[in-house]
Amino acid sequence: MMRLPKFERLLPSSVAEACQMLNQHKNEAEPIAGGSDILVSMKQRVITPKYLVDLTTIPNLDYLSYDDKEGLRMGPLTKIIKLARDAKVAEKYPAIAQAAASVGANQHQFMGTIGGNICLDTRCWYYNQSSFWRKSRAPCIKFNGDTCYIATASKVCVAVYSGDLAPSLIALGAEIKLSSPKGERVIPLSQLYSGDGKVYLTKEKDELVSEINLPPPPAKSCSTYMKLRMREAIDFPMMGVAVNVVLSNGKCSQARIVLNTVASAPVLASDASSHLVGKELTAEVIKEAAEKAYREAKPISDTGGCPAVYRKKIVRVYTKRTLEQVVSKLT
Amino acid sequence: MKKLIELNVNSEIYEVAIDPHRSLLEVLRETIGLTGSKEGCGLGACGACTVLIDGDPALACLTLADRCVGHEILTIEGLAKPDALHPIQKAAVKFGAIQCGYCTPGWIMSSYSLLARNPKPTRDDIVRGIAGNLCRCTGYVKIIEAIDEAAKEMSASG
Repeated sequence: MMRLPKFERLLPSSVAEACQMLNQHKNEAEPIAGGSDILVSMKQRVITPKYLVDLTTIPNLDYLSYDDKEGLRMGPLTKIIKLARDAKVAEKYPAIAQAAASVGANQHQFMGTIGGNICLDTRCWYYNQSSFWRKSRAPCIKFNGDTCYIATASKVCVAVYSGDLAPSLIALGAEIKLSSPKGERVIPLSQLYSGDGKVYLTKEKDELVSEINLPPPPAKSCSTYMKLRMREAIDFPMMGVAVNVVLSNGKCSQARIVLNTVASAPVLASDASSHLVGKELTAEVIKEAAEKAYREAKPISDTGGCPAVYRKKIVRVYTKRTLEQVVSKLT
Repeated sequence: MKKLIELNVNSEIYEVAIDPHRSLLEVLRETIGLTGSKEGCGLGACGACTVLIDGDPALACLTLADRCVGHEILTIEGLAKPDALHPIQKAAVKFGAIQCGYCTPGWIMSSYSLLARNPKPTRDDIVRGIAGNLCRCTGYVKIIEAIDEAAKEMSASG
């Protein structure tokens, strides 16, 4: 039987109290939401926090509400399955519904939460294995050692970001509210990720994501997400592309292409995205944008048994397919 | 220190003394003695430990038992009536959708929750409904056929 290390579960009754607990126990506490990722890491002794601050005991963090003026407000404790099955989400933000439906398998979608998925830890084949296997080598950078076994020349951790929701959310312009003992602040979701595999989030340890917001989609816009993985369920992505395109007068007025699992953060393919703006989205333009996205993607390691060189090639293929898909829906 | 909690499993109340870091799977199998739910990987990647919590499929290996207080847990042991197997179980036997049997309780619980939401699933619905349950023996064909038959029988008998 795979057993969890010992810990004490703390039961906050508000976000403020949870932040206080995280602040008080600094590096000995971790927040837990659905638990489908953190408990795996704990079973593998990747992390062994003394305290788990249980966010599910806080009321009123589980909601989805859509308004044509305000857009979509999402409580961080909302289960991923709700996003995957919500008719309004599917209609207004197809990329979010697709990304949610592609998380793990059914069971993970029922257990996992939006906030938890956004804050998903970065992964690599050295870090995410049992302590027994890890012991055969000295600790890596993410374990406060000084070697990266994925990219031996690297001075920083290159573990990849593997959450499925964030790329689609970023493509659609999501903002998040962060709460801490110091107060609240709202930042674009893209700024939550540092790009460093070890300290992969920019938020403070005692800050919690307390709401996720999407602006209402512009009239002629469409989004989609495609995920590459070994099997059609359970697996983390080996690569993913989220696109969101806005048309006006037959030309693209706004575009965001966000690549998943090619770095320690979701990556906005800015050359590829800006290449679309101001143009009619012809097959030629799409092909050029896909080529630019391919050049912008710099996956380093083999992830999920898939070579980096193949994942890079698929960036071109999926960028083209996702753009073709949204264009065919818009025209 | 052990904590005394009450768990509602298959509509029976079990009073158990547990350490707060125990998974639901450990408590079901080792404390309560319901060994129908299996541990495959123990890491949430195989579905063998699938149970229903308030009707929703959950991986018992990644669920803290302490968090289940006040919720209804349904395991494979809760499906059959004393004198009759559940239609999904009957169909599994009829189609030989079992070889080593290790994944069986998990996929039966997943399909039970699928049929509760969607009594007339297409083949694609069935495949997606059990996508989180790995089977290394059957190649899934007989499992899918069994679920399809069970769905038909269950909707015919209302």
